[in-house]
Amino acid sequence: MRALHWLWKKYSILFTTEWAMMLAYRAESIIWMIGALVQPFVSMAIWLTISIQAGGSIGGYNQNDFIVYFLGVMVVERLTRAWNVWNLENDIREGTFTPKLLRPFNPVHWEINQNLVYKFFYAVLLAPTWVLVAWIFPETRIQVDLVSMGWFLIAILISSVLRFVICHLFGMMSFWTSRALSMYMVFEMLHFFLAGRIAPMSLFPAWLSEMNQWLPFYGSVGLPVDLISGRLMGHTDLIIQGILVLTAWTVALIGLSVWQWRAGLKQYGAIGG
Amino acid sequence: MWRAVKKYARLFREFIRTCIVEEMEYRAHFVSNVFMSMLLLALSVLTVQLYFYRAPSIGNWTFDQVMILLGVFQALQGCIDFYLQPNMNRLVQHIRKGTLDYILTKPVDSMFFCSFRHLVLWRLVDVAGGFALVGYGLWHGSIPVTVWQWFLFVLLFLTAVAILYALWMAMMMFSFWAVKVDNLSYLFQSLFETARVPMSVYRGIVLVVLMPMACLTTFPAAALVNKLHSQDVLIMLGLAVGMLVSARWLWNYALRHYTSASS
Repeated sequence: MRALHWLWKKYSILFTTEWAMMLAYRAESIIWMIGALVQPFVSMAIWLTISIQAGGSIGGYNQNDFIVYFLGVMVVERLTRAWNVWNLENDIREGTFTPKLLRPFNPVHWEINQNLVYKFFYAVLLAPTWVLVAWIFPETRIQVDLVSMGWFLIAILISSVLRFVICHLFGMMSFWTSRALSMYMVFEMLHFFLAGRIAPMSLFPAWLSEMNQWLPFYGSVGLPVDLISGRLMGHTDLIIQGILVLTAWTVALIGLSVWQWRAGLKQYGAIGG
Repeated sequence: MWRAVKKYARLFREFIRTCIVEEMEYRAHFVSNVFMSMLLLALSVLTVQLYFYRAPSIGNWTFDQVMILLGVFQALQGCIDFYLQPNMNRLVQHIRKGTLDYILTKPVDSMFFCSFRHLVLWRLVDVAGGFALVGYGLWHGSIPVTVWQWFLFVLLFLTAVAILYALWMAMMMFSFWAVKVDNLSYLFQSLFETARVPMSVYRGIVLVVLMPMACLTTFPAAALVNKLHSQDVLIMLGLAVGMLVSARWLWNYALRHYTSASS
């Protein structure tokens, strides 16, 4: 109980500090957000063109569904994304990681709060925007029940943890190699391809979407989007399977990151600082 | 005139030489960079294949034609990373820290120096990969290309490079007045992503907004696959000349208002 109280106190202080820092760069944050909305938008334009050519609907998605799907991708992408690989890589390479290690608790708590701050900021911006857009354009409205909504929030939460841990894993590679960022870029490209960011899972070749059910990609973006767009309403088995796979990967990778952290610290030979 | 051209050609060679020397310090990186860039190219081809898994054509462009377009995109992106990105980021720093003073006192054209001093040579691999993709598209689709079409392709590609240069230069020159403009280049890069696909997938107001980006890749590719209208060439040429002249004028104007950071 005491530990929990201690953690809460620490986190509220860290959160307010990071919040103030983010607000100092709010214009940048908004530019980053707008830039990140472009890619889903391009995919949306392509699929709309294809579905119009095909006479209205393709793979169970009509134009309306595509619009909702990619709006979902925009929101989910922002709410689950992690950026800590850049900080970690930079800190370890430049040696500025040393002072952070001297603090009385793990530097990862700072990263977690920085991540939360941005997500909070994006949520505050994006959710009302969608409500406003949906009010003007009926095409962008979603039909979803409370249960799906609840599952959506759970999926977003786990996916956030998962993507943060993956970023952390790649960032910590910097203890051993100077190519950590490039490796992360390759992972990002794979994620871009497989997580449902360029197309809904049902439009992939069957073997690929089948395989993807067991990989950490679909769960991190595709699943939450399918939940919020109401695709999975009434498919409780699919939802539970998706969440379980997502959780399993998250737990396994957290375990790996704890081990990597210990091994990495032994390896770390502070440059400069 | 001829002497000036020779002088700047020699300078440019010298820039390349120093960059090679710099790069040689990180030889192992070169191999892994090339590997990464091939991998990313392969993934972007896969993405297009996914779209065509469901459709025979996108906005009247066949798979092979889109491959050619993707190749042009890749080559242009490679050019951006080869000389625009590294130099423009440094320009912003020069202005912020006041080190632009040192460049202004050198007996060379400051705009030339600021644009080409730092070259990331391995990025030329991206350019080569892009052209290889263009070749693949032509070969796989057995698309016949006349000499005239090749000429137009080269002309429009160079025009696109010039437009990108002028656009980027104009963007970075904001830093003479406002300090934080690094994010503008990020925004530009994201918007440039929209040029990955044929212009015909965009409609209405979106098309109007994205037109300047989209025509950079669509027009050169269109020259090869015979989708080009003669007015397109004129638009591109006019744009390139107009923008280069404005960029040059803007540079001189900005320099007159440069007050250095330290004084």
